[in-house]
Amino acid sequence: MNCKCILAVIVAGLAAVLSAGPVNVELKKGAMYRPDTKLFWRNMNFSNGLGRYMMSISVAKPVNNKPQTATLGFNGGGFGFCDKARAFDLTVNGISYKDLNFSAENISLWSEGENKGVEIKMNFDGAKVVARFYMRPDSGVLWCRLYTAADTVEPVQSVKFSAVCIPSTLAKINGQVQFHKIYQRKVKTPVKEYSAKHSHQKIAPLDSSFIFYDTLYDGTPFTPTKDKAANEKNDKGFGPCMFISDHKSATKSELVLRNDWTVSVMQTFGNDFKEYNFGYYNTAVRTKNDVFFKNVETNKAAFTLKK
Amino acid sequence: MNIMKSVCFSLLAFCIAFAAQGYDLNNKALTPVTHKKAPNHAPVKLVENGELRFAIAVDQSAEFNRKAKKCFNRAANSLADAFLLCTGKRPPVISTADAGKYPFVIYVGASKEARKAGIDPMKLPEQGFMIQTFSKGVYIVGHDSSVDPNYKKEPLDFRDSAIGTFYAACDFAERILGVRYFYPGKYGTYAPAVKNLELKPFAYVDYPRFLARGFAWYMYVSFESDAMMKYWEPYMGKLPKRNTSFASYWRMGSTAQPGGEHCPRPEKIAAAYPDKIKTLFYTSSTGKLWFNPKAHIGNYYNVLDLGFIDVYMDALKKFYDSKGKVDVAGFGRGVNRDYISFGVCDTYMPLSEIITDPTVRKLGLITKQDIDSDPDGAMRNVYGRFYKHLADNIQKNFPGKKLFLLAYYNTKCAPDRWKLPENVEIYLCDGRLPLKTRSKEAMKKSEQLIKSWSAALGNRPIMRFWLYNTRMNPFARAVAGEFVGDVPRLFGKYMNPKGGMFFDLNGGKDFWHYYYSLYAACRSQWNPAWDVDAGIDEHWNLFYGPKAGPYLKEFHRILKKAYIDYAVPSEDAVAIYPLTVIDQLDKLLKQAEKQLKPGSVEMRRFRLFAQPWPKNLQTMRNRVAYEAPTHNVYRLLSSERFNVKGNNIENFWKKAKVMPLLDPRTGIKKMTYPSVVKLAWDNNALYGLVESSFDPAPDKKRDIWHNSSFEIFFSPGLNKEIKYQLAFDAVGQRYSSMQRLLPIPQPEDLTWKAPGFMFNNFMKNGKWYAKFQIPFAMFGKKPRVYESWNFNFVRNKLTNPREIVGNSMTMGNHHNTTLYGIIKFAGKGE
Repeated sequence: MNCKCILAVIVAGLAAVLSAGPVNVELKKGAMYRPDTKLFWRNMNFSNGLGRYMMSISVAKPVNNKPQTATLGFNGGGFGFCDKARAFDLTVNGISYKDLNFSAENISLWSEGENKGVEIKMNFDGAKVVARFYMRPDSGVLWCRLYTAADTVEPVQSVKFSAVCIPSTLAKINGQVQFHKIYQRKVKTPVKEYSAKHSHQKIAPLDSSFIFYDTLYDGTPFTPTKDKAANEKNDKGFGPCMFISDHKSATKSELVLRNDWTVSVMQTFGNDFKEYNFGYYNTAVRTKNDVFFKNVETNKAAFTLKK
Repeated sequence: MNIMKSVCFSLLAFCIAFAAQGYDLNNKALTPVTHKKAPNHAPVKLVENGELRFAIAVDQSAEFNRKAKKCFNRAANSLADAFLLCTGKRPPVISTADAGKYPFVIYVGASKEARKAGIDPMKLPEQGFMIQTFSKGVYIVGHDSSVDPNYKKEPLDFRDSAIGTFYAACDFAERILGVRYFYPGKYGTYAPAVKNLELKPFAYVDYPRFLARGFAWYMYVSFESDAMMKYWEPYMGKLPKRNTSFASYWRMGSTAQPGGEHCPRPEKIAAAYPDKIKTLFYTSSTGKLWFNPKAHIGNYYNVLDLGFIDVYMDALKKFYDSKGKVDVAGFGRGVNRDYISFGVCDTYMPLSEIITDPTVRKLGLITKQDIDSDPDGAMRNVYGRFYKHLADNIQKNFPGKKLFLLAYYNTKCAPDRWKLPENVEIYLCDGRLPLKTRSKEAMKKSEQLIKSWSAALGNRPIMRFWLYNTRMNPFARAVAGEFVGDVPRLFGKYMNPKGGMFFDLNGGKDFWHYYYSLYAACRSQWNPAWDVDAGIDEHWNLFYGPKAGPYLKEFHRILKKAYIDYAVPSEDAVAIYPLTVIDQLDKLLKQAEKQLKPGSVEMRRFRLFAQPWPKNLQTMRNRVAYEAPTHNVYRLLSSERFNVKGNNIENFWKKAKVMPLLDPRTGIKKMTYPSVVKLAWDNNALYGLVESSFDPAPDKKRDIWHNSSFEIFFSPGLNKEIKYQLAFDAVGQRYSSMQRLLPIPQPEDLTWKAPGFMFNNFMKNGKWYAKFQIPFAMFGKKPRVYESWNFNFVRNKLTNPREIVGNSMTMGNHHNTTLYGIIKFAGKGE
């Protein structure tokens, strides 16, 4: 249910055919699923004419023998983001962000020129790290700069980061959600095409962007009918999504690509960590794989990191 | 129930009752009586058109036994007061010699006239009475010790006096006049207006089904101090301090010989035999001597050493030889003409402390069957052996005396391998009674316990039962007394009518707010056949008027039903009631209040009844809403150090957050005597600083539990596997224990010394500061950064006025791990 309740990403149209627009960012308490179970939450909405992303950070109350737990990621929606799969995971000096205390003081609006976003300050037992999520007016990508805070009390010794993507769709067969096996996931980077493997696959610094797509759920547009069985058969999902990453300073970079509903990119940084920049792009408009590839190729600047 | 219909019906009934002024000898609201053959005579017109046509006559010379409480005059005056309340006129109380001057006479107490009519007080059941009309009036005669030539004829007879005549006068006032005695003072008695009173011939007898009844001690507690008298005054009027004479109106009383108490007094016997301390008090195999000269709790008699019995016999010999004048062991009334009591102290011996004892092992006194028999059954044969030897020694040294035992704590269960001799009686303590009488499962266990004791006594009944009210739960306290009658109804065949029940109220400061429930407890002890609901239901309209009465009746009905539905099946000390129930109760109370005129007697009664409920209802709302509070513990930076010694308050404490405190019983956050609690940690230990705005007035003569103190409970992690308790007081005394809760709860381990635990008290600028240091090594586990642990911090301010505060709403039970708060070990720089 959670996966269906809120649309994660709503884009008014194909990035290629939409014009750029000013960035709008909202940071508010807003609505939350089962607020009675939460100690704290904030919703973050990012949008411009090219894309819209709804994220939240929440801290679940401790229940019985389960401690309080923080969650950062996209809000549910058709792609299948839910408590089982949030967009990001972050561990600094061996401490997961899920264990941290969050409060309104840690989260604030940020802007620099026309770029606008939200900064989340995290304290990993004295090692302070900031995650700045933002949008640019020229791009439908949600960008993020993860960096060591100037007022850190302890040095950052290690950072483990993973971005979780759900290409195309979380499919259903006979009404049952399919987490494994039925997918045919692939990844296209500037230098290589990756196919699904059970084991983690090493990625190179030149693999600076990842277009996650599925050859079966290829985003072919279709119009749903009353025939649920036919809809299931004909629904080819939303098409590809994209992750852009500058991981040149990473000590270890891996791709987890199985024929599962999620794929992820994992980065490990050592004690020389200063910052890590990445971008995330997803669209709720059904886009065929080849159209998506072409769009990225045509609008290179919009899908390129600017520091 | 439609309240408005009920109001109309009640109004009508009230008017009819007012007009008729009749009486019903079989009124279900009163205890049933045994009717005798009624005499044959014309109706006795005691009151005609508001005029009294009688006097109350007393033969004072009949009360000859000076060792007994006299009761004729008290009974006569009580009856005269009842007439005054009902008619506005007080009948004269005269000598029987002057009886001829009046058209009709009520003879109160034994008299020649009553004897002539065949009423012999000594032939009435003990403490019972007879009321019989005759052509010229009424005989009201009771079985009274004051007319008993044998009462206290022998030394060391500590029985209280029988006051049957007083009970008879009360019964007449209630049954015939319609008076009801709910609490002392001018507002606590209901008396209907009586214009005419005509008695048709009748005769009836009644008597208590048990010789020992009530809980007068707690009535005393309710009137114990000036503060308590001041507290009750707005509701009850001005009352004499420490006066418990009202207990007789509820038929509390006892003519049973006392016994089966906590006996001897540990501090007395220890002082009398200083060279026998180790014989008298148990030393566990870990070397712990269970002797606390400062309090009753903490002492454990050495029942494994039969040398104890020799010391006991010596003290008893001194007592009896001196006719009770030399009481070196503090026997009090527990040793007397009939009984020699032995009762353990208020200390529970953990199994871990005794199971390795050499005598236990050598004699096989604790078996697996013993341990499995009952949570309190492990030591049943340890005591069986001791009791057998003690009883045999008493038989040998003091023939004719009986050993009266307190079956309590470790000795609650009957031995099955030691046959108890004939000269043993039992005072059985069962915590399920009366609170769980409506639980079939709980009553099966109680029946098993009671039957096993009866079997151990050779199928004799059990002399006395010790019943318990809950301390924590006001919703249960408000109705618990109404279940006391269940006990003899369920287990009457195992109960000795020569004994009875003691209802331990576990506190008496709220006594009169729940008067109806305690009234019921007493009535039920007099006669368990009494219809509790009829008795209580009747009173709402009478006492609060026909408009407010139905709302309060409904309030009570819901309260009692909720107790049966939610509290009885619950294992929790304070069961959660649905908010719909709380809302209903709240609404009914407000509706009742609206019906009452400000300043009226009914309003004053309502104030007494309603006083605890806003807080009680709020407590339940708080309980429903309660979620374990999480407190972030400040993590010391590498440059920061804590020093438990000295009175320096380190700078880092400014950065540590204050732990919010509340009343653990109610969840209410308002404090009269605030304390500021801060916690910090590093990789080695948890540190604490408490600043309290009062002087704890440490008293070295008192033990840790009677001085202002702090208690700190941990359960590392959130799985509640082990509970650790640390405590220290303002004197510097300390306590520590641990208890494994999972996978199977184990007894508390009192040998755990909390190695490295340090604390320090000091006064600074008129404030009490306490610092403490708790090394994690004592738990065998260090917390990870951001790890959460269950935690309960309690501050006990035990100087008057007392105030207990803590971080967890444990409903007053500091060991209630379910409701413990959480500490989260925060990271550096937070």
